[in-house]
Amino acid sequence: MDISIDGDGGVSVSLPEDIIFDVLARLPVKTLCRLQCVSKGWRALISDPAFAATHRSRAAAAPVGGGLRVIDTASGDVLRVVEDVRRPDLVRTRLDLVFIAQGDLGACWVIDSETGGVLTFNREKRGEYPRTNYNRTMNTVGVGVHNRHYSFGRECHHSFARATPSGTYKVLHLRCMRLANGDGADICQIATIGNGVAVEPPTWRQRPEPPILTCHCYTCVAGVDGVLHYFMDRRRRTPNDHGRRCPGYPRIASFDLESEEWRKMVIDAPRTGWSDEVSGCHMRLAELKGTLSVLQTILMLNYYLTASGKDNQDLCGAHLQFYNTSTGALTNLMEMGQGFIGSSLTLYTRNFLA
Amino acid sequence: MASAGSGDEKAATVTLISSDNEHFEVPEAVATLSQTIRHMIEDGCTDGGVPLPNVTGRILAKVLEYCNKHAAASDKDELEKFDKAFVDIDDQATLFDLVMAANYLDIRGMLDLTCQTIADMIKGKSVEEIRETFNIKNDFTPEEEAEIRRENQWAFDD
Repeated sequence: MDISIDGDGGVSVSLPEDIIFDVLARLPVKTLCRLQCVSKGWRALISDPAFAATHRSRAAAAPVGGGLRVIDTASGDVLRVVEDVRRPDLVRTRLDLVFIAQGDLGACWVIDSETGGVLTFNREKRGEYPRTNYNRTMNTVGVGVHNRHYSFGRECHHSFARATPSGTYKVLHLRCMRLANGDGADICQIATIGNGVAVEPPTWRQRPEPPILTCHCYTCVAGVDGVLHYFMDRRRRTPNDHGRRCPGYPRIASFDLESEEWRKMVIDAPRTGWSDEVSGCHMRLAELKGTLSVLQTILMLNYYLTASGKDNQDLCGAHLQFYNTSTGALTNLMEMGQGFIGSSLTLYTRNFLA
Repeated sequence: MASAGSGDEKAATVTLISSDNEHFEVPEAVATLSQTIRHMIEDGCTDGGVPLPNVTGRILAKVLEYCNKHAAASDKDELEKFDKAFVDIDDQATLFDLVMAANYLDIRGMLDLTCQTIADMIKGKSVEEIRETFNIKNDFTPEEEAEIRRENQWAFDD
């Protein structure tokens, strides 16, 4: 143990390595990644497998059983098991928080992988629908008479993101209410997830409805810099046939998490670079290097007349296009073969899994 | 000074001698919170007192404050409150002295407490502040450090 007096007359103490080991083993992974910059010695210590093993063993022990397992891909350790998750629809991860939204039942889990705390909310039992009274400017919607079929699936959506610049984690909940006459209205609610994932359920705050009817599936939302962007829902009536055709220009509504308001400006994405031959496109919203981007496959058609004189169509190929909403540039990335028609798009960036 | 009394009505005590020659007579039940001292008592080498050359009188007094409290009290809330106040120290050098004393004397509870306090201290600090706090020399070249930061960009995002 060294105690040395430095030039200013202050006492600086160097701690022995085994104490530093103990201290570092108590820190969250995110902090440890930063601490690798301190010195070569610390970096060696932090990246040592023996250290990682000690660190893991301090995390909450995972119960054995069914459910979702959050696994550390580096060490293979199970960090957390969440019961009851049948078919997770969407998982976004940062090393300290894991968010799982299960689209069908509208349930969400936020898991703090460091403390093992799990926050569950909006767990609706099948067939039940939470009571809400929603007043739109002229129509008042009473919940009593409500068609259950529309209460889950793509009609209900949660997005989890951080507001900028405060850095607070929030969950945005969008739900489509279907009125008796077939019109749709959106419910928008937001809640803040506090530090350390407390066990109490979040309190939901009502927010104004979006300026356009938004689509709720996971390919139609992207978070960029504290703002959540949603594609316009082009086909509310038949949620299964999503994205095949997009009449008109696809529009994007943006929600600022910090101010908790919808932006007045709705972004217009171009439909395509081609004109006549295009029948439809499959689109996906994504964040790429801090910019909102749209990926789309354009389906190319050949029109031809059949013997009976009717118009007919034959899909002959697809093109992949990339639209950058900040610069307005539309780039053709590549031509894709017939086999790609109907497939879904995924965007992978190098640090997608933080 | 008299060491552990045999045949006395009083509980057995042991004398601890700090690096600056302060003597502390302490009941065995309290002193044995330290595994180091406990082994010495079991080995029967505590006659004439136990010298602790690595711990000053000032720090040893604080350590004994901890041991006295934890040997006596059984109420969990009370202990928590005590622990919290115990590590609420402005002087960082004292905190480091305490962690090293806890390590040397092998007092598990106190080691946990002080290490956790230091860990909490680290969480809020920048890399440079940490180097200062722990008196660590930065042996990376600027390029090496930039590379590590880049690799772990997400961790620096706050």
